Amino acid sequence: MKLNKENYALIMFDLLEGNLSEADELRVMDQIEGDEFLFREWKLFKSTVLIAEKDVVFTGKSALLKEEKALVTLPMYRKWTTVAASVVLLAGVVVFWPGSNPPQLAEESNPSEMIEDNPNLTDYYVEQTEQRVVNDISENKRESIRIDAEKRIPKVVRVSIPKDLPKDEKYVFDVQQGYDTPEEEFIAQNATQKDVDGARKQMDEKLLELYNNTQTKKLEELRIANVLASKKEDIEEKVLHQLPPENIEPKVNLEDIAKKATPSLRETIVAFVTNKPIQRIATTTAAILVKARSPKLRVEPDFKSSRPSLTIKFESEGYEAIASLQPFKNRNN
Amino acid sequence: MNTAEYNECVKNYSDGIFRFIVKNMRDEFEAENIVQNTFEKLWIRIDKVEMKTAKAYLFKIAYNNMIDVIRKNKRHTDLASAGHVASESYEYDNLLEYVNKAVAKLPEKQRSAIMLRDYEGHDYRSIGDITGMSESQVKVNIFRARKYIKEYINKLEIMML
Repeated sequence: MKLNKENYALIMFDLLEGNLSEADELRVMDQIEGDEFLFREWKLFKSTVLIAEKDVVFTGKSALLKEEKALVTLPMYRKWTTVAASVVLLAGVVVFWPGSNPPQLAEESNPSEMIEDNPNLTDYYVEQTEQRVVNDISENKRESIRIDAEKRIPKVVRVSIPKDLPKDEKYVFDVQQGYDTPEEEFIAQNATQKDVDGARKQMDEKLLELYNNTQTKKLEELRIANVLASKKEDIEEKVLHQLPPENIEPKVNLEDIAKKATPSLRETIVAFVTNKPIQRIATTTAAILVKARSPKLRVEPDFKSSRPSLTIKFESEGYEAIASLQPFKNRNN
Repeated sequence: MNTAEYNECVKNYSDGIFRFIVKNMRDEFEAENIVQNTFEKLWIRIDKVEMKTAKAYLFKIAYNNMIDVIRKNKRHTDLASAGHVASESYEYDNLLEYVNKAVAKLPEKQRSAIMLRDYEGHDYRSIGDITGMSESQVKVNIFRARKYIKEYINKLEIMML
């Protein structure tokens, strides 16, 4: 590559633009440095490179910036929302059992038997959830059970509450489906600890009676009271309370989790779980549990990860319902 | 592109775009308007613009906007002859000012091409995408721009001797 008066401008341009190979660059530079005219021309060419004036800046940046969505943190009560949502799922699975009949009871089966091992099972997938319901009872067998259940006399559990209650402490105590009168509702919402404990004791006795005597096992009308005996209790405990202790297999201590919350947050949790809609979920679920024979509830929450999940496995004779929730699965944060 | 990436574009490219426009038009007010319009358009099309192409997209929007404004205001830059240099040379006392004066006299396409090349480091293809020229046209325009600036400086130096 030889520079002359006809081509030097183009070659110097390519040199300046970095369009030459390394070897050509060296050759061209040798010629430039050996010629006074070329050296001066090269110096002028280098002067044509524009240098940005950094002090020329756009001052209106702040007006152009858009507010970014804040990262979603996960307050404790959200975790309890997960619990409540799972209970809803569980309740939904059982209430809307295929066949539109109330939950059917198996006549003879082994509760410890792993349902998933049965090759004749039918899976029902519920849209937008990971619920899975497994049923191993044939249609004929189910019909016979249904007839048997209809013969039973429904038994309603009712707890009487004194009407002259002090108003110092507020507790919600829902015995039956709704309240008959505003006065009854007022009383229920203003029950004292003593009243609640008393009612709870009666309730426990009734429940035990229901568990132990299949002839008195009630069905559709029964809604078990949801008792908030103290602010330490959470909604899961209330549900689990309805079951004999030997049937409860919590893998983590939920009370410990609640204790870790700050006092203000704990108040928030309590306020949240005492909302009436949540109570209705709890009572509905409790009623479902009572309907089942030898119910077994396994709660597997995972609140440690950034995407908490909760799995509730409900097993009765011949049935197993699994409600699994991971509500923050698709969140980035 | 998401909001965070959009904001990153504002922080990274608004100065460069503003510098490019203000050097081209020599009108800060118009340059600010163009920068604002450019980012408004990006925000409207935020879902359709990817981060990796955002810089070229922004410069293209700004460039087209600038051309529209220039045409509207009938402020085309004259192809200044070197003969005009002599009478104005006393206003400039250093090389940077000579160069700026020369750049201001370049035809719009040459000026834009060399600015995008030197200020922002765009390659020929990217400059072509922004200005609507082919790569070879970009190279020719940059070459002519450099040659013009070189001659401009050279004549000034001769006048100063």
